Amino acid sequence: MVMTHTLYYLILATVGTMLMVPFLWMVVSSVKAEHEIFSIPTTWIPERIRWENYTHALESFPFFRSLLNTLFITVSVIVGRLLSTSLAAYAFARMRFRLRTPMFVLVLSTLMIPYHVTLIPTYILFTRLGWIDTFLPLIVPNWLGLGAFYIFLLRQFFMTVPSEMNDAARIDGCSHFGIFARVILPLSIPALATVTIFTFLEQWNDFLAPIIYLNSPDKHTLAIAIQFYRQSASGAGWGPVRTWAHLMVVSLLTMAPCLLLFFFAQRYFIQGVVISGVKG
Amino acid sequence: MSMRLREELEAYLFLLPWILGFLIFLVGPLAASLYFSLADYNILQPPKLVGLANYQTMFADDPLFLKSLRITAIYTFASVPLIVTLGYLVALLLNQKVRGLAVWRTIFYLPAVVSGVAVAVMWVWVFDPDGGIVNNLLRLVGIEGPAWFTDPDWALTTLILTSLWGIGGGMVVYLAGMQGVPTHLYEACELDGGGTWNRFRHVTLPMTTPVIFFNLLIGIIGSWQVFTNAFVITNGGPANATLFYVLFLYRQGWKYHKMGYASALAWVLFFIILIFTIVVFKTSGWVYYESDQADQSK
Amino acid sequence: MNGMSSMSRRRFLSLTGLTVAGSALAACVAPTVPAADDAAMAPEPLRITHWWGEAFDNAMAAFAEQHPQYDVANEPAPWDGYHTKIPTTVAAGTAADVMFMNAGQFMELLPQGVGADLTEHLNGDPALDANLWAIDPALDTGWEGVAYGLPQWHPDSANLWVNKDLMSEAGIETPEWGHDDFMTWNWNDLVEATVATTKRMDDGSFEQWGIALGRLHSSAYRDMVWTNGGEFFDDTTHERPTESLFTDPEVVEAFQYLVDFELKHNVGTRPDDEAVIGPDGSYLSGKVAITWNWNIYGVMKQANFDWGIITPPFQQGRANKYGGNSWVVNSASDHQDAGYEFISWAATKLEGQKQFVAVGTVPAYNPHGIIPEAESEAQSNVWKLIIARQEAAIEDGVARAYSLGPHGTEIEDILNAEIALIFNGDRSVEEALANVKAQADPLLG
Repeated sequence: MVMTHTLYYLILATVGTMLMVPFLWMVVSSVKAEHEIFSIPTTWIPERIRWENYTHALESFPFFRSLLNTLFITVSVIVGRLLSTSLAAYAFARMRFRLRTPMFVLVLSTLMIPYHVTLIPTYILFTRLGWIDTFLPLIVPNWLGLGAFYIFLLRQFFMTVPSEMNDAARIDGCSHFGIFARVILPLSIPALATVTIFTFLEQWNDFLAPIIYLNSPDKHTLAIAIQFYRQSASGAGWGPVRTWAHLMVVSLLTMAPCLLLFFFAQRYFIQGVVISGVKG
Repeated sequence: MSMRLREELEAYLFLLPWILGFLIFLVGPLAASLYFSLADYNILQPPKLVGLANYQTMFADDPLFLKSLRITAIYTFASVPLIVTLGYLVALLLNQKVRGLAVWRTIFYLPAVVSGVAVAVMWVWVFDPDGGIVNNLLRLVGIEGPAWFTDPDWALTTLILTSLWGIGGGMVVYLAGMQGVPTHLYEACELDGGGTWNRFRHVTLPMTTPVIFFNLLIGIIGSWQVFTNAFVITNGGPANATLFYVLFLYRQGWKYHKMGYASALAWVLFFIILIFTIVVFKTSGWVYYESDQADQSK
Repeated sequence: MNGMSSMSRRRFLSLTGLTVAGSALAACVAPTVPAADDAAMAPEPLRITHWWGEAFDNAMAAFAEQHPQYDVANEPAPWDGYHTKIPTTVAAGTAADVMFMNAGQFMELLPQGVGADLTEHLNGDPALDANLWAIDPALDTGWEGVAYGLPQWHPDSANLWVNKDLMSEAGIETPEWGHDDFMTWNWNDLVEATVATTKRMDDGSFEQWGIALGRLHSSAYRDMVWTNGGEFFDDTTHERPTESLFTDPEVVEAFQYLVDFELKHNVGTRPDDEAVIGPDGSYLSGKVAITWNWNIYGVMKQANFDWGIITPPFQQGRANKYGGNSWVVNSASDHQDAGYEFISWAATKLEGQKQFVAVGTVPAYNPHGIIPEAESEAQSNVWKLIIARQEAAIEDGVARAYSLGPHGTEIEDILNAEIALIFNGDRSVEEALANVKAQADPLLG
């Protein structure tokens, strides 16, 4: 028993350390002088800890404005996606209707065409709607259930909820919406947390769609700001001095919310106990 | 109104947002891309219909089409089983009661969040032919390892190995799925005298098949369309050894402005993935759904 | 002609972009047309797009301030999305009035009629002296003899960046700007310098490299081919080539020279040595004596060693590339005169040039002889060398388009794939370039 316990922690610690290496490299690089970052061989202890990198990096980085834009888009998408994809997933998982299988195949098939070939007509469509240089192209489609990945994900989870639960609720006179809202959703907290975590990460880091649809700098997102930053850090342009160290600073600050969200959301991944309690 | 009809109508109500979204935002662009695939379209001028010429070029006259298809198929068959299995093992590892569980899980989630320069730097440490960790280990047992990223014979293998970095996402889905296993099943298993192995074999594994199925199918759909890694790490090289299908498609459409040809490539890919998806669904008898309505929709 | 294509483009938009539901929605939000007298009063809108981010912020603000008759919208987009966004917006008919483009984009976009013909504007501008361009705009940012853009800066040149500390440590004298040996230094001198500055550890692995070239730096093989008397195509403007010349002996020899750094002399970094950071990054690390590159911003600002810049060795001619970043007026724009006013302000007027010099470039039209303020002698040598190389190249008649033509990106992908096989030992330079020619020629003509 002690043996397996030790072995368990050994594996956890070994793999965990390996996974942390790039992250640690970023942290160390963020307080290094520029010439130290790619020094050969790699050094893990900076000559001197340069906290000033943090203040310099943020001096002219439109952090606050792009953070607000990104937050607004991300939160809107999460809310719309949770609502619309869970409704669709419920229909596929728990309801009987004739076109169930063909429609589910249709949903999945939207995942099978690379966006590269639909980008232009989609852009033209949004132009016609007058939505260019607004957040609407980034948000509205997600309120209308586009996100087959998430519909499929939630369907899989909804189908694992024992159907006796349904039946019991139906006998109590619950409508389908009642079952959905009062039985299925509360039992699928881990799945909804997963959708939230994934959507957050996806929206937070997406840069191609915002670049294409947004024109005004005051609507730019964090991912766009970072992209400009990376350009100057890798020497592609002039302008303000942006070093690799500065790039590490803004990258770390941008990553932090994704990690924090996961850290807090993952506690919903231990609620199996509660579920069985309902079952009794 | 009969119960049956009522449920039928209600179902479409549940699906209404998606149906609207599909009709407004997807049907048009999809139809347009199908139209482009039958045209000579350089983005900057209106498309000119050319019939099936793009499809003919692909099969008769373009060695890179078949090459990229083969590369992507190899990648799919090698990396999907690896990722699906390893992701599951990692999730099992993190589905225990240990001290600092939240921290451990966050550490294992790090790869999903960290990307770009830092990860690229790490791959150099791992795969550098002279000073890299892998080749140093191989040297201990007397093997001179290859130049992983720059040898055309090894680059694809190397990319398959680096794809393991992406198991964090699958792990999250597994972890969420493992919470749905009712604890009374474990208790029943214990009463029957089952040990750790039996609990896994007879409770955890069957009850999590729906999420395994999800990761498997999404893995297949995703790896046929692998783009970012090939674009960022190797950019298709060396000597087109990692010219994945969608990277090839991207080059045709956005670098060479042959959007008609790129669209034709996309629709061929669509049918390939569709066939794989149908096969996976048809062979999904091993997936166990707790709800009895599942049978009719596998 | 232009009218025709934009008409049909518009019709095509209405055919493809819309679904039934989509058009219904679009009808609901159709933009209202402002009344005519309102429009006369209001400043004329002018949208300007580029990928330089905040580096252009001051310039844009200055133009807007000096031109209150325009409502200037600065629309920067990072490069990674920019080259997708430009064709997308052109296809949708919503591209900005003025677009910044690089050498590759000219050859891809100008032949398709994306840029407005500036001939009349140029001829009608009394303040312009056509002789004062470092290079004819019709060549630098034109297509078939017509100017579609105004070069914002002097044709850049790729040069050899030298780590003088490593050179003097190895006892090699760096040929300095202004010294007699500067213009006579040749290929053998370069090879000698790279061999002398390469250092290995006991186990044979590198401690220090003579040269960082990537595999191969696109600017290095262009310079090398041209100075060696070779050409890439039978059309030296690269506009309408009918045949590529990759198998010409001068071209093969030029590539052989470059490949030999790694394969024969064994003094060059390999891709794994400079993964992530590229040749300039490895040079910046201080472990590389020489690299072949255009302006390395990072080096000028951050190098913690003594650096200098010298020309690539001359073989037969003193060649240089042209085709830098330039402003182009959108041919579909309703504000072409305003667009021209902006680009002539940026490229030829003193107030505009001052703004762009601040981001570290020499104006291509330079009656006032202004060059960026240098922080050191080494930095001021960069500007001097850029100007001197272009003058020499024009004198010798070997100024060539950087872009390899309308099929340039595809040909470069072919070339890179074959080059990898040379380094892998699967092909000789001759075989590889013969394969490139066999694949490239069917695209031409």
